[in-house]
Amino acid sequence: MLKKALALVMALSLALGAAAMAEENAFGWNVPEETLRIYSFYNSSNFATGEEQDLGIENMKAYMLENFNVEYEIITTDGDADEQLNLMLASDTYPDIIVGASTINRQKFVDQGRAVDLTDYIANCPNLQHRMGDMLGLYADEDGRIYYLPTSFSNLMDLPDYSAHIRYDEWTEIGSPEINTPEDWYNAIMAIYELHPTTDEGEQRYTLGLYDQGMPEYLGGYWGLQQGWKVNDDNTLTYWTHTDEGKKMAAFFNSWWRTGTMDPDSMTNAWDDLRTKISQERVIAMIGGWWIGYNAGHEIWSLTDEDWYEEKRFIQVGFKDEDAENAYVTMKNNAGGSWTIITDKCENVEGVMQWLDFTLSDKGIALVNWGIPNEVQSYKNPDETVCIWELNDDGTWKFNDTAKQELIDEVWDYNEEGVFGGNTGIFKLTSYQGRFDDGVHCLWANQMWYSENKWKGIMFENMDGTIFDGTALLYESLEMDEDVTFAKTAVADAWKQYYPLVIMADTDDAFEAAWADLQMAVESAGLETYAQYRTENYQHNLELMAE
Amino acid sequence: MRKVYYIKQTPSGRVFDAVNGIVIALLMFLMIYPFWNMLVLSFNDGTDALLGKLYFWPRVWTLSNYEYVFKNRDLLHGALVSVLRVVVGTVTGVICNALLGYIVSCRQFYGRKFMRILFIITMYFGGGLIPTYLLMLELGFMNNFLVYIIPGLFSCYYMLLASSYIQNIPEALFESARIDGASELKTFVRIVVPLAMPMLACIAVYIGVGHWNSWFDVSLYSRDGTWDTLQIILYRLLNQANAKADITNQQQLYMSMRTIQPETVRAATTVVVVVPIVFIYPFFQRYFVGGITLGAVKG
Amino acid sequence: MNAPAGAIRKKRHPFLQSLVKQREMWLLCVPIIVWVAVFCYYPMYGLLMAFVDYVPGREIWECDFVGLKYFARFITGNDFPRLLRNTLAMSGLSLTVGFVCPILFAFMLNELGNLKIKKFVQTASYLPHFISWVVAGAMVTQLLATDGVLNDLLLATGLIDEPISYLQKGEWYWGLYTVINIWKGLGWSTIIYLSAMSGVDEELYQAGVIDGLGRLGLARHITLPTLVPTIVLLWIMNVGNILTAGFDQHLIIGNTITQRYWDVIDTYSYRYGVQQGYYSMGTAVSFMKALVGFVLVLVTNFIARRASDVALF
Repeated sequence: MLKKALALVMALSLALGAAAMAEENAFGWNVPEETLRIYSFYNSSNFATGEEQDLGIENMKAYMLENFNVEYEIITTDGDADEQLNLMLASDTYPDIIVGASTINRQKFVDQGRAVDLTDYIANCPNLQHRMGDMLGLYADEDGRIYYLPTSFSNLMDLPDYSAHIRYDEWTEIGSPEINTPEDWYNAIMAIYELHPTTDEGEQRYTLGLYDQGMPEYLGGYWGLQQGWKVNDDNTLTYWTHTDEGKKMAAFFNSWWRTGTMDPDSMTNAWDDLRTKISQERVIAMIGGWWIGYNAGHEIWSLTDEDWYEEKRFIQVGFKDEDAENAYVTMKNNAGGSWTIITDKCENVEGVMQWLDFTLSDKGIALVNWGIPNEVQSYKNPDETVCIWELNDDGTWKFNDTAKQELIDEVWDYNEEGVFGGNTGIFKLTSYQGRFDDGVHCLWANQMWYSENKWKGIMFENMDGTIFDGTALLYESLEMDEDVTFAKTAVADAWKQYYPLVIMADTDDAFEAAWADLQMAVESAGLETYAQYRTENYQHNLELMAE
Repeated sequence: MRKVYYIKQTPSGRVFDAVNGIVIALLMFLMIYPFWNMLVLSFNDGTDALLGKLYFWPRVWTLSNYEYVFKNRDLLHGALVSVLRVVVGTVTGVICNALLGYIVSCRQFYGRKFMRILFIITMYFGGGLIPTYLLMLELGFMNNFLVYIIPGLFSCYYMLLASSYIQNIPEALFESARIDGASELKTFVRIVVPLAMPMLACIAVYIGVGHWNSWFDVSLYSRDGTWDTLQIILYRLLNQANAKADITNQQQLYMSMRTIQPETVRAATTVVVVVPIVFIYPFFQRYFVGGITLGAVKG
Repeated sequence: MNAPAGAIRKKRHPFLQSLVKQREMWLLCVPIIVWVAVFCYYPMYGLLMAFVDYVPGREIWECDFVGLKYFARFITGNDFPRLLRNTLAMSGLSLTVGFVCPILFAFMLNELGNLKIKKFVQTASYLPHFISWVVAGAMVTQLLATDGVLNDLLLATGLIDEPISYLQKGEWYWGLYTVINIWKGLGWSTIIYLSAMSGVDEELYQAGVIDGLGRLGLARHITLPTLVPTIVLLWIMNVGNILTAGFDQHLIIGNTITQRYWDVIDTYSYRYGVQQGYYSMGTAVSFMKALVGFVLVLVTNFIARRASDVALF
């Protein structure tokens, strides 16, 4: 399948090779004579914008029209986006482009012939081909035709998704011990707890806080599982509830629970609940997203605490269980999980695809994600201007130095960033989330120049070795039928109800019994059906990617 | 109706009054405190509020939350649309449901049982979102003010409420009106409406507040924003917190966390929505509160 | 030709008679009937979605017919008994405890002597109605958290030794749900009863006093009977909704540990139906609920009509 698609694309490329060199602007975009209309639906639920972002969007639209002769009209929704898309589909009132459709909804368009065959157009899209490389073949059907593109693809392979956290100042206080295994982390935290069992106001502190039911599917990575699955030697998959590694992870957290120092609401916390406790300094450590330490920690303390000092912040730590082969904590799916379709209502598919291709060039990504280049009127101080990146008439560009320094020093104003028009992401058609060819820049303004920021550098160092390419495991190339979808929901329902009981077991016997309950619950929810799908999907992906 | 009736005060009556007072006072605390807490949060600085523990008074006083809400350019327009919707919707809704209630309680009317059952069925069976949406499209109700009014004209629930009250109006009044040759409409206006005022006021409150609070139909049918109500504009502010639930990409999640408005702004929007109601409500309240108190102390 | 003497004149059908005699009424009904046909009955074709494999974008008749597949799948599913149990338990509490409270509160309110206080209390009592479940739920979770305010208070006064994780106790969930529902809806529901109470004829009270009735007597023999039609009406309507037992509340106050107790028909249908885009299943479930509700209403109405002369129809 992959071979077929690539062959088709290459053949068409050669055939259409000699495109006339038309008028280009500083971005490298051929400004068309007739206004190109980009009429899209941005499939993101509960979409809302702040004042700065509203202004930025207006500015961007005007900028696009003036400099590119491209007119954007974007439909967004306040409520549930999938529902809105289904309503549009049922009433035949959907626009030219759908950005971010779910897999199920994408299939509805494709099955009903409402999605345009993009294969021929892709031949004319050098940036798209360059950024996607071999992955392009993953999206082709049996005949090698491509009807949809991923809305986001590729990833920053040095940016983790999940990590454990510890406070830098407290960690240095106990002598900056090395943390290589989960037990090391546990010991370090217990040492801190002994020194500081209460906050300055005398409130009790917790040694650990969890949220989202302890995220076993992600945290299992520290024990060698890959996003909830053990990959066996014969390329079959076993669900974490039926593996030794999963049980070891559960035992680790369970023994921590039994010390009585863990947040008693750990198994029912939503992120907001936990965040308040962290901000009040009542939680010594937590484990979850890589950013939670920032969001709940110094980003608040630097504003509210008069005696704040730079070291009073959380840093990320990575470790690996001694028996695990690798700490597959962050598994990146580079092939995408939501989809961009051009519908049968689009009259100028060629134009749209050319624009899509442009937005994947370096300057295109800069425009659509960072925002409008050169001086833009500030929102906070309307008499002043701000700038995020600079573009010269001859086409050369660079990131603005002041902005860069503010980002590195972590004093960047994220609300103000809205005026540049990029940070809502609604102007993207497909989004390349990896690094540019120069290895430095990427679409996230705050994920560059790790080496120049001490704290980012620490994260980079600590989390190295925990980030892996999980495309084969995560990308859904096979269609999920009703039974599988049902089983998937039921299995998730089951572990979310029974796993907390495992962690909160008081004795060894209770632990074993609870673990057995968990296994039974997950099995009767349809684990076999779901596991079979995932195994088949995984093996299929391996085949596709080996070609 | 401010009549108060005198009964001799007994010792047990006094005890009852005391207990009644205490229980109600306790209930009052439970009812008012959450709203008070909203007020407190709305006047507190957003970042500071993240540290929690705000109960009875703001810790870091600020007006910036309200500034943020009122700075919204569309707010005034939205408020006007909301007021228009509430006024038109309530007047039409009350009249229609009262009339319908009258029709189904008119003892002599042959078709009354038919009309009743016709509506009761609709209270349970409905086609769902998609057919309704398609219907509105076909009727041209997209981006049209009428979509707020016409589909909501009649409701089985209010019909039943109205009719249960109208049924109590003595038949003799209708008889004499009929003998006098009055038309049905005239009977309705001259007899039914004045006598059913308490129930009509009650229905008016329910319908009015319903219109004031609704946002789902606005989000579906006011696509180009011309008919946005106050509620939907404020809902969008609250929405920024909801959006993050969907995002699985951790980097995106982090970025959205950075830009959502803090809880304090959300508190301010809740206050802005409730305060107008609290001020208007007493005008309707007098129709059904007052009445008769059985054990008032001699003045 | 005259009809033979003694022959019975053929009676016209009462319906036709009424059309002529009560034509004004019928004229008033015409626009109403048109309205209900367009806005209520016409969209009911959507119920057919429950019987096919509906996919938006295709017309209903273009989809594969599956008959009662979704109904059967839902009812025979492993979770159904539990869902039904939870739904009925919470509805049952709402129909009893939750139903009586607004009535009691209306009486209590009526007994407040000072009119100003009465009005203030009544206005204040419906403030919770305006606080969304998201906000209200957040307050409740903060209050009842293991390190929350309630536990702090109880520990400080020495009533308990260790904090209680209220939100993790599934057995208490139904009670918690009922209390919170009452809190939120009390003031709002009382409005109807107050308005019904203000319709009581003063002379009845005077007569009652002359007959020697005290406060309690007046309330029981005069006020209460006036409320009975409204009470019966509301109760029958609520019975029809017996298969609906909250939704937003559970998503906010409930968590996975108590899920066994709060998962109801609607939350399940949302998770497995609507969220996955399976409209057919969602429609099947709401159709079933409507059918059961409607039948229950018919039955309760019949009983009510026999027992008293108050009924829905």
